[in-house]
Amino acid sequence: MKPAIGKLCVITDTAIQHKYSHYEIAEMAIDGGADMIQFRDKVMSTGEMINTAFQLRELCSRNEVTFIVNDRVDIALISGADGIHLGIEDIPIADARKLLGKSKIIGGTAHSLSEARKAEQMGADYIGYGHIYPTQTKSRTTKPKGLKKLAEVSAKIKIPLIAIGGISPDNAGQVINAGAHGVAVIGSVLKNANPRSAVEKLRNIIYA
Amino acid sequence: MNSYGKIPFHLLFISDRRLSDKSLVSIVKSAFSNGLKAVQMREKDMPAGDLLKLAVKIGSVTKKYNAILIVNDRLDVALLSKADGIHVPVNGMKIDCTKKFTKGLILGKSVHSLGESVKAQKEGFDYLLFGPVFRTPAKIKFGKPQGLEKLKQICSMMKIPVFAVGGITPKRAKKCLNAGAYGVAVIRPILKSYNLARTLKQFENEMGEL
Repeated sequence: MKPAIGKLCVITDTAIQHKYSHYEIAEMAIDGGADMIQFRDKVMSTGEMINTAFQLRELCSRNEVTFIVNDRVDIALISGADGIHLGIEDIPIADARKLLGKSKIIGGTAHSLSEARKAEQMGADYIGYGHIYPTQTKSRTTKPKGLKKLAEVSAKIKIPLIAIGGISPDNAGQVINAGAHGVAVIGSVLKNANPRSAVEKLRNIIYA
Repeated sequence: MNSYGKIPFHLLFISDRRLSDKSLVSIVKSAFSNGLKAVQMREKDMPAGDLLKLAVKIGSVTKKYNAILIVNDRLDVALLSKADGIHVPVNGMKIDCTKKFTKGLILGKSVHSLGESVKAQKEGFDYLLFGPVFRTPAKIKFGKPQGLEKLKQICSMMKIPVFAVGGITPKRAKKCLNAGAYGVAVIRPILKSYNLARTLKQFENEMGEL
């Protein structure tokens, strides 16, 4: 059976902050109530990534939290992750499916309705859609999508939509009300003085 | 075990498309039509989607020439492009946890010492890339080259083929073979060649076969 697609996904980003390791972020996030962890690192060597992925795999399994790897289909495969999240420039969804099979989750990034539909057609299990609000995690030249577009996209696709970009306890309720299945967070949690409680606040809103 | 038995090449071309104005596909085509038998795609800065597209293109060329395509580091790209092998850099994947995914593939490994070589042979790699044997612009930051004596020592202790890399020219290729290397790997001699037919002929003359 395919693992559950989480409603509160914390992305382990060690580029926007240097205080916490991937494992520490995942521990705090799970402790605060995250139900999905996405391991993302663009600079680690493959060897280091595999070691970290095995550790996260074990941590997530033990806590029954869904474990997703960003970009690296090979590392998802080798570590036995629950799935992969693929950006627009990553390996195409249909190709990733060939390697991972039907039992794994494949998420695809979309910045528009047409990208969301394309990802759905290629066999994605969920869409990561954004950025919804202004965000500092990634330098963006495009405008935030806002709630109206979020509502439109989530209404027009059949698979779950996970909203990303500038989501915090202040706006997570609206995002869910607009039709998002869940949210993915980085900055609002990792730049918070207390990441665990930031996750907990989000959890209480999303699962209200 | 790979599906090829003995490693079917002695000169391995390692790519770095940023060093040339020409397209990698056209360089590879020209090199294969002049006798080259193997390419290792190493394009570290490319997003995986582009890397896969390029590997598929180069793979169609290698198949046409009955040559070998080895993909650096990314097993997903190697598998999806139906490459013949995967090359594992020093900080690359561990082979013990990947064996069920690498069946039939040629497995190469970069090593910089005897200790790493012994370990890689034990782990089941099919060939080693040892270097830098000579001075090379790409590896200057890592200090002194390893030299022919060290190459000789490692080759004498390994059962699997050792390829020498780093500052290789046709003349130096012969010295490496004399030191016990099975072959050599080159980047610039192919990418910077004004006449690939001549360059490859020089390597063939010194090495006996490519």
